[in-house]
Amino acid sequence: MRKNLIFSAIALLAVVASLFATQPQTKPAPGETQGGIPDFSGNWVGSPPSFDLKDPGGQKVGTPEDDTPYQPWALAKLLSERPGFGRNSTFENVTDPRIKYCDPIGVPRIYNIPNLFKFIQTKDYVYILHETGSYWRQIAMNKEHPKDPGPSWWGDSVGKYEGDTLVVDTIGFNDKTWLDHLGRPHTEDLHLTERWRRVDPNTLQLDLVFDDPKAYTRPFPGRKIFHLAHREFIDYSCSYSENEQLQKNMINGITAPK
Amino acid sequence: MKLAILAVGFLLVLSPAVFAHHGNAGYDMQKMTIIPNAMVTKVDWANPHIQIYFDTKDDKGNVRHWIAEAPPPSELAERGWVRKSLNPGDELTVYFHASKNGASYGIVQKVIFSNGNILRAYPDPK
Repeated sequence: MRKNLIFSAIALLAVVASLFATQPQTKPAPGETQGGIPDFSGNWVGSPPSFDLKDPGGQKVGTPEDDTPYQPWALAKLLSERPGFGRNSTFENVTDPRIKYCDPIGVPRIYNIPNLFKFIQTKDYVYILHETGSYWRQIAMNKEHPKDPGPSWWGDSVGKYEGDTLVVDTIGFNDKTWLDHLGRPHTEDLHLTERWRRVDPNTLQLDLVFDDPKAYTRPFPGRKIFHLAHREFIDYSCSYSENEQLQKNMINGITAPK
Repeated sequence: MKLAILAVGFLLVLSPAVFAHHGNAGYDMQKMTIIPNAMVTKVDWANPHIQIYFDTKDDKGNVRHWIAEAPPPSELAERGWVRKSLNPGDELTVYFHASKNGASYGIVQKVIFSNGNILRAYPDPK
């Protein structure tokens, strides 16, 4: 009897072991598409200040080498700005609303900030959480835009998956943000298309199409590359008082630290 | 802590990665200012920039207060920094791009501890 029990136990263990041995791997590899949903998990980071990979430092902006299809007023506005970055950068009297007023940085410019962001993918919504400003975006999946989305800092975003790509369509912007750190303007008619794709486990690519006929004579593209960062968010608030003190320190020097 | 500030001109273009959320236009990015015998007095480990407060003394003992800003913590973490990498009382040589207007302010490139250890805020210029 005792011998039979031992044999039975061994047989049971063998069956269980064989089940585990033949069980397919259920945990997807990073970035693998499962159930039609590509995996964008992880914390991502990119670099400033431009969406033009051929001119990442913004040294061509506003020059004859800049092939951005500006409407005349948009080019004039760009050239009148005092940005903190690129060929026309300045330190004093900046006109960048982000630097000057801590205004919300908006889409897509937030992807020119070298801070972390992450995707929260649910069935009905994709949320993008940003370390910068603790801002977050909501993207309604497989839905239509409301008929008349009011102008807002972040616009109204809807999305869908196309294979391994998350396609985000955003309208309903206000005209208070810049497209990038260099001062390219836009109007409330901006229609932005983002195509997010994890090109390998450690790399996320964003392809953009800017369509704003009032500011640009034709749609034009942009691209940004992000890499996986193995660290967590920390607090990031754009505090007007801290910003003001920073400006004073930079311009006047400092007194003893408090 | 005698102050002997050196300035070294760059012949080559600085790494484009050097970045401040308010831009770099106010800093002399073509010149590296080297500040030996800098005593750390405070470190703000926070977004959007880490700020390193430090003091120097001249030959007469006069103290000068400085701030060197560094990239956001998430960027510095990739270069091996942690929140307690720098602490009040640390003695450093600070390499930074000073404010063009002469303010005691700059954007840090790297710091070297008195034992020779180096922390880079940005990759070395090419």
